[in-house]
Amino acid sequence: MKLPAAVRDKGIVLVPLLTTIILWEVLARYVVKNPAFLPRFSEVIFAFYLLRERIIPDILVSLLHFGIGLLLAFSLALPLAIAMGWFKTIFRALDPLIEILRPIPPLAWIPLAIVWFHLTHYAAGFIIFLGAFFPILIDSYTGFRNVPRVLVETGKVLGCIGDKKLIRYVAFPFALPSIATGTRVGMGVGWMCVVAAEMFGVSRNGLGYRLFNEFYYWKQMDYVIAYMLILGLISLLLDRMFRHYIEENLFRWRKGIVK
Amino acid sequence: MNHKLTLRNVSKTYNSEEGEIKAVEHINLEVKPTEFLCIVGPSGCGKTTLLRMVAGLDYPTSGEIILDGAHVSGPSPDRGMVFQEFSLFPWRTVLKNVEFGLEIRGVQERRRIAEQYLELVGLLDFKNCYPQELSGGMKQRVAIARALATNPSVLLMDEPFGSVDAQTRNVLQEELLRIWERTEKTIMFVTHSVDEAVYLADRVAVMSARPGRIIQCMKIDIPRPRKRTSVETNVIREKLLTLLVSQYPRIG
Repeated sequence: MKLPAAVRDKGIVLVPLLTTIILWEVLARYVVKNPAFLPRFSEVIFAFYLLRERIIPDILVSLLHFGIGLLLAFSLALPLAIAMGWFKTIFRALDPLIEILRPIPPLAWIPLAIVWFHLTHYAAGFIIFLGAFFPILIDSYTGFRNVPRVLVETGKVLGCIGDKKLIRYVAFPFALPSIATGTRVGMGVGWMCVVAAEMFGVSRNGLGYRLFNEFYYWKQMDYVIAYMLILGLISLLLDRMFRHYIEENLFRWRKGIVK
Repeated sequence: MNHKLTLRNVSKTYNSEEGEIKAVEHINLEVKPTEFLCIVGPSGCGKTTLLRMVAGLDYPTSGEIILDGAHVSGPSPDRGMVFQEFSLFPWRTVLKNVEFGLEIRGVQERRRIAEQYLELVGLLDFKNCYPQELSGGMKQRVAIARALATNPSVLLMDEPFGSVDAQTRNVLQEELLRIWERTEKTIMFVTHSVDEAVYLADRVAVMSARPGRIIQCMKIDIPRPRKRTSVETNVIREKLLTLLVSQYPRIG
C-alpha cells in the first residue's frame, strides 16, 4: 500500500519523534525503573497537567527577562554594528575589545550582574543580553562590511552624498538579511541563557528559577523534564514566528535564491 | 565654447606599496554635446580610471575636468553611470531601482518618470520583478534606465556589455543607439572591443598602455545604421586594431 505524498512527507517527521518517545518510555519503565534518575514519558506528560497553573506565570516572567535582554542587545548591537561595519577605523579600534569580551561565558558575569543590578529582573535581563549581543553584533557588522563596492558607487552617482544617505539607502538594506540572521542566532543564544539568568534567584517565578531552585532541589525530575521541554518549545516557537515574519515582510526579493 | 565636457591635462597617480603608479597621463579630451565617444585601449591602460574621474568616483592628481562649464568634484546625478558589474539593488524591484536617484532627490512624480524610462528600454512589463529574476542583458537595460532617469548631462558607460553573451551584446548595442538618438545624450563609453567602438561611436579615442595617454582620436563617419561587416567598417577596424596591437608588449 502506497501512502499519499503529503502523508509521507509529514510522516517522515513523526518517525524519529515517536521512536524516541517509545524508546524513552520502555527504557524508563523496564530498564531504569527509577523516576529520580529517568522519569517516564507518561509521567512527564502527567507533570504538565499537575503544573498547569504554574506554567503560564513562569513563562511570562521568563519572557520578560528575555525581552529585556534582547531589546537591550539589539538596540546596542545595531548602532555599533553600523559604526564598525561602515567605518574601517572604528572596526580596527573596537574589534580587539569585542574579541576579548565575546568568549567570556554569560554565566561568568552573574556575580557582576548581582552587584550591579541586585536581584532584579534587570540582572536576569543582563545575562540574556550578554548571550544575545555578540551574535547580533557580529552578523550585522559583517553585513555592513560586505556591501559590494559597485552598489556603494552606484548610490554615490545617483545622489547619495555622505555616509548617512549611503547607509540608509544602500548599506542598511543590503545588510538587513545579515541583521536578521544575527538577531535569530542572538535570540537562540539569549533564550539558552534563561536558566542561568534565573537560577540565582532574581524573582520567585520564571522557568529557569522554577526548574533549578525548586524542582531540582526537591529532585522532581519529571517536573524538570517538563520545564526543559517547555524551554525548548518556546524557543522553537519564537524562532518560527521570527522567521515567518522576516520572510513574509522583509525578504520577498530573496525568495527563490535562498534554499 | 561648444564643448559639453572638457578634460584638460588630466593625470592620475596611485600610491601603492611598490611606489607611485602612473595610471593616466596628460589626457586632453573634448566631448561635444550629443556626441557618442568611445574610449578603447589595452587592459590596464587606465580607461576605466578616466571614466571614474569624470564620474567623480576618483580624483585626478593634476589637471581639470569641466562639465557644462563647472569643475567636476565628486559624484553627482548630472553624470549618469552604468557599470560593467551588475549594479542593481537586489532588494528593490525594477521600478524602484529606476526610481532610486529621483527618490534621493525627493522628486514627487518619480513613478511616472521611472515608468517612462522603463518603457524606453522596453522593460515596463517587468517593473515589478526583482533583479535576480532578470537576465544579464535585462539587468543592464534597467541600469541604463536608472542612469537616465535623473536626466544626467552626460552618460558614462564602463564596458556595460562586458558581462553578457555576444548575441545579447549586439542587441544591446542597437538598443543603446536607439536610446541615444531618442534622448540626445552625450555618451562616454569605455570598451576594450574595437568592434563595439566602431559600431557605436561618432569618435573613438585610443589609449596607450600604462601610463594611459590618448594616442589618437578617430572620427567614424560611417552613416547609421551601420553594418558590422561592411568594407568601410573593416577598414576602420583594421586601423584601430593595428594601433592597439602596437601597444601590447611583444611576447616571446
